[in-house]
Parts: sequence; C-alpha cells; structure tokens
Amino acid sequence: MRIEFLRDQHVSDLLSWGSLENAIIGQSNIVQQMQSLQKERKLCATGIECLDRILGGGVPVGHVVLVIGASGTGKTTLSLEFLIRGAIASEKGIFVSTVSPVEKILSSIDRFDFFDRKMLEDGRLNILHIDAFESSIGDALILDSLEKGMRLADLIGDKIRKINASRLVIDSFSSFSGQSNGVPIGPKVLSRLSSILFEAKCTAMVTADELKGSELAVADGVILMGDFERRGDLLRTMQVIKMRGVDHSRSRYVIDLTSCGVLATPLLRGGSR
Amino acid sequence: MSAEKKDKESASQHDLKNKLKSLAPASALALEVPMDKYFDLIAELIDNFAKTKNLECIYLLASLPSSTMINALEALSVDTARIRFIDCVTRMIFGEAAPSGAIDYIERPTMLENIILKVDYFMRKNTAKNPLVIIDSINALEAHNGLGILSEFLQVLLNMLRSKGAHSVLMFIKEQTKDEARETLSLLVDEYVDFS
Repeated sequence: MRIEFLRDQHVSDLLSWGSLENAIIGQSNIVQQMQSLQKERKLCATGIECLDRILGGGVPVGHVVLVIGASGTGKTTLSLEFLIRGAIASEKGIFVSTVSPVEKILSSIDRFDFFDRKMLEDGRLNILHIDAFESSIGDALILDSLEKGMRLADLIGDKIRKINASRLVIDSFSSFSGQSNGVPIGPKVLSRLSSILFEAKCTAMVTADELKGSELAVADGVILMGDFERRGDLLRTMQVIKMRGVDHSRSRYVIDLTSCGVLATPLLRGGSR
Repeated sequence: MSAEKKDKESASQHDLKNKLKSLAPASALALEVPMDKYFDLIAELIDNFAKTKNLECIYLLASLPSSTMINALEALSVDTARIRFIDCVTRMIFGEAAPSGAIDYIERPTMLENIILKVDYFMRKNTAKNPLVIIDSINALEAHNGLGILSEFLQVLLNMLRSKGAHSVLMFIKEQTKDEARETLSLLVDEYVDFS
C-alpha cells in the first residue's frame, strides 16, 4: 500500500506544494489516510520504565532512534535493556555490534537481574558482530564505499525479515561515518535502514558518539546521553531531544545504570544557582 | 534524673508512639528533635515502629558515617539487620569505603539526584512493601546544598515515596533548624512534630 510509506513530512509537503484546488480536493483524502496511518502506527513500549514515562508510552513502531553520547554515558546499556525488555515481552531483537566482540557484550548483560540466558537459546535475543556480514561485503569494519554501506543495510534488513525481529540495535553507528568520493556514507545508509525498518515494523536504537546534522535529520528520534557537572559532581544524564509523532518531555534527567535497569529522576534545577 | 524530667521524657516517647501509630503508608512526617533525645527517637522509630509494622528500613545518612551510626544503634541494642543504609558521608571524608551488602555509598551529600535513584533502586530490589525511609538529617543536607535545591529534592523524593506507599520520616535537629527552613520544608510533609 502506497500510504504505508507516507510520512508526516510528506503529507505536509503535499499540502504545501500542491495547488490550492488540488490541496482542497485532496485534503479530506489525505486527512483520512493520515488518520488510518496513525491508527496503524502503534507505540513500541521500550520496557525501560523511565524512558517510556518520558516518551508517554514509547517509540512509534518502525522508527529509528539515535542514542548519542560520549563514551561511558550509558548508550550501550540503554540499548541492551531495550532489547532484553523486548525479549521478555516475546519480541525478537538483534544487537549488531560494530565495536565489542559478542563475548564482551554477553558478559556485560549478565549483570541485569531481568536477563535470562534462555533468551539467547530460543532466539528472542540475537547478538552479532559486524564481522558476521564479512563474507557478503568484504571487510565490514571498513566501510569505504556507499555501495558497501547500502549492501550492509540491506543485509541487516534481510536478517530482520528472516527472524521476524521487532527490535534492532546498532552499536555503534560511528563506524558508518566514512566518506565515499567526498560524500558522507552515514546519512544515506541510515536513510536506507530507516525505510527498511519502517516497512518491517521493526523499531531501532542506533548509538553514536557525536551529533551530525544530516544524520539527526534522518533519524525519527534522538536521545542525548551525557554528563552534567555541578559543583564538582559529575551526574550521568539523559534527554529526549526529538521523537517524531510523540508528545514527550524535553527535560534533562539524571540516570543511574543499575542491575534493575536504567533508573531516572529529574535534574534538580535549584543547583544551577 | 529528676522525676519531673523522667515524666517529661516518657510523655514525649508516648507522643511519638501515638504519632507513629497514626502514620499511614505514603505519608511523610517531619520530626524536630533536640540533640539529647536524638538517638532515643531513632531507636524508637527503628526498634518499635518499624519492627511492629514489619517494615524494611532505608536509612539515609547525611550527618554521620554509617559505621558510627551502626555502632550507636548496636549500643542501644537496636537490631540493624533489616536496615539498608545510604551513606553520603564516608566517601566524602575517608575516600574509599569498605563494600557492604547493607550499605551503599554516595560520593557526597550534594549528589541529591543520586540519593533519589539509590532509594528507588533499593525499593525495586526489595520486595517488602511500604518501607520506612528515614532522612537523617535535613540540617546536614541543607548545610551542603542550600534550601532552594533541598526543597526541590524533597519534593521529588517524597512524591516518589508516596507513589510507592512508603513511610517517610525527616529528621530535624532542633538546635540547628532555622525558621526559614522549618517554614519552607514543613509545606512538603503531612505532619511536622516538634519534640522539644
């Protein structure tokens, strides 16, 4: 169905670009299509209690959320919890690691009270290193051409469809930051992934070390992880700065990474004096 | 000890027992206590109120290190086995602290959000319902943070505790409490009791 690929932005573009007459005739049709689209577009409750509270329920299904922050701010922990909470709810998930080997990821998830090794055995949780795609595209760690990046996105899409995954994590997308003939690969690969995920109704968290304008524009949501220094104390923080289709809080929250998962509380403003 | 003083003390103990009896889950009580009755009231809270109601205790320490408080409670024959301590003092003064299952350390009493998160963590880990959370003391927290941020902190913490059905008790040391703090913070609790 054509409408399945219609995004809010496209609808507003249609309204602004078309002639007034066409817009008026088409408007009722478009409104109906939008209403049916919004009915179809359910929220994917991340299962991370504090994040779902901030988002007012979760991330729209099929959206790509960039989780951005420096090293040690909790990006991997947040995205791992997203997959494990999904597995608890019988939603299959794939974790694609571009940095750490699978064994290292496994050793870090054992500390979660809510993690069960059965999730790996029965296929609800799949952890892959990017090397797993090496036979199809050569050295997956070196993304030196746009074609290679697109091929990798397609291969991840194949994997999602094959196991019927509802959740995907790519940790980290910084490995996709190369250039091909002076053109950045990242935004185009993210755009391809975004279409694949929307079609497959698979919701994704993609981690990255730093902000990039073009990638931010492509992503449906952006969560900023960081550190906040107050009188010599360093607090770990999380802030949702963008989430299409969701009325969410834009406040900064202080977080703690615990064996019960990520916990959050509002950053106290009285401290800014 | 004079008979008059003894009578006064037993009267205040009786008052506290009555106040605690009427303390419902999800409510917050502020206790303004003179220094000479401080440990007796703490003992009453933990050894009588919490024990009778079978409540787990989360004890936030901002004025004394947990080792000192545990020694003092044991000297008063108070059972500390059911208490989880959040110690905001030891690391600030001594640096590294010996790990213990019953004690969690916060770097400094200025890391107020981390205190809220630690209480939340204990409550999630612990299956016991309606725990008793003791904040000792408000004066120490005010000295480190200032009244503005402290009142914001208590608002968030007490509302979180209320939503989870916990009993909260805020300790004020009478000799150290200024009128401004008393007035501001009394707005956040359900009942403010002066035990002078």
